[in-house]
Amino acid sequence: MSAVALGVGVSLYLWLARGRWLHRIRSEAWFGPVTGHAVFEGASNGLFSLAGRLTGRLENGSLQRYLAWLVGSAVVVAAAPLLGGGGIGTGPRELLPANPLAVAVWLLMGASCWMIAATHHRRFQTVVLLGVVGLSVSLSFVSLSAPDLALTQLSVELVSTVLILMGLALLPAQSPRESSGARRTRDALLALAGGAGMAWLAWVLMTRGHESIAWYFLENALPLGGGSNVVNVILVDFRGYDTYGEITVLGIAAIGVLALMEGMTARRPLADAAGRRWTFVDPPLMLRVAASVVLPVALVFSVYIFMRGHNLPGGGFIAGLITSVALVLQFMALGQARAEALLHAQGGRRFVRWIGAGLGIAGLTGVGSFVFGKPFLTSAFGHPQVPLLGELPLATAALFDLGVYLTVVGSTLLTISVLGNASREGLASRDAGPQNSPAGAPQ
Amino acid sequence: MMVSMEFLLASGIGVVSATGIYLLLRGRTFPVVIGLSLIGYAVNVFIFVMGRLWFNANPILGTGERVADPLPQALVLTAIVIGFATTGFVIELALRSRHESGSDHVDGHEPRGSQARAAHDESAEVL
Repeated sequence: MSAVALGVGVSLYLWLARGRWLHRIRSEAWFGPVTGHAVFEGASNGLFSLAGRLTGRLENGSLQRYLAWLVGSAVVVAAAPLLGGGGIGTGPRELLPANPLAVAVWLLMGASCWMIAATHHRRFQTVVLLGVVGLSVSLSFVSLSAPDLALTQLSVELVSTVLILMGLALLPAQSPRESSGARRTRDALLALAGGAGMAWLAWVLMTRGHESIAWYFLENALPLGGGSNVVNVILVDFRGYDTYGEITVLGIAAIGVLALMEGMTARRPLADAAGRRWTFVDPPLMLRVAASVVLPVALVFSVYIFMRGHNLPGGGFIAGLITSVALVLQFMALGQARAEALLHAQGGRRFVRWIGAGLGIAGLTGVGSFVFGKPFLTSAFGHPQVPLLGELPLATAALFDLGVYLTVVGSTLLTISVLGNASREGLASRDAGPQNSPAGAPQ
Repeated sequence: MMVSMEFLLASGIGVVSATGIYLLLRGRTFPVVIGLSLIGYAVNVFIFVMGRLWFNANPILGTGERVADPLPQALVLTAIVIGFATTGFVIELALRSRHESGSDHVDGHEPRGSQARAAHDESAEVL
């Protein structure tokens, strides 16, 4: 068919072009200025300049404008079915009565959010308030039957507060008040629309019945996974491949941080704008002693949390975070240099090996199931009788969890350590008070 | 009037995400980092409540007759840890950006005609 069309076309052209007749037609004489050529050129030029003007209007290089468009579009797109459908309202599910404690936590969290929005220029205060919100989240998990989540949230909260404060030490202590009233109003409206949308969506879903695929995991956690903490069994067994992907992301993020901060040194002022010192000249005695006493206890505790993870709240993620918190405490009490010497960390670079070892162990555990002709990450468990210890519950998933543990510890410490290495104690800030005189220079 | 846990959770998610969105739209990198963390909290709790709310029903077999939905919990657990890694990455991106450009504005330069510049310049010196 194509060959026929091609042949007919070519012969038509040759017939028309005979004696250059085709090429001598002056279409202007027939159509005036509205020739095909002119129409095409005009249309394409017009389209290009329209696109250019539109891009110029929309894309002025301001991230704030892009984000406002993004949030606004998300709100509109998400609201359309909710408002248009008409039939989506409160569902029939029986509600749980709130106890006074929950109301108190809710009020505290709401007040913190209000304070954050109103006084976010004072950055240090914002970090403290962010911690209040994080702890409220953790408390919600405790009260709503999610002990694993509460433990994770609590320990992440500690490490990320340290991390944010380390970052803040290198950034201005206050944000300038530069947004116009109109911009603040626009942003507040977008924020309220977004928040209201999230709240309504959550309400609509929570008040409806609950049909879940959870029954499969609940029924099979013991017979197939060999553990009674269903959350942990899902993480290291049923959805082990997901978890493997997630710890890979974790490792990539930490190594990304290492690459990002390569060759960068920022000078940290000794004190913030109010004249408070960022670091101790000498670590306080109590903190030093407490940190050295806490370290072995915390490490043993994290081993305990790790071991019981398959049957009780705990597991590799939580144990890894607890270890990280204990080690970060050493960084705070001993100072970066001594803590890294203690861990043989070589400016944090050694932690890359921890990440590598973790991912390696997790991956090899998965590959190990090929030997038995099973798919990637199939787990096995047994209860061998060991002399002296008696019956010992063992699962290959624990080996996978060890990989998770190492990756979590490595990533957390790498992120913190790289940031600490990039910041050098510098001169006191220019407009700080006399208490920051060079007398307190770095030791 | 009885206040339900569902109401507290839903409104809490709304308040935290509204605060997060507001901070996300600020012009300096630090509030944006805090805003992202807040949005992270809200989204994590949102996914968690998709398993509905349960009192005294830890998803540990053999501890009680009712158990909460374990699946959203497993999803959120890794999300919390990855949220931490993202916060770490974003804050160090903010530091690097200030190191490269000398400004902590999200656009990489001080806004034109900025009145606030002098007041803002007090902190960490960039080498």
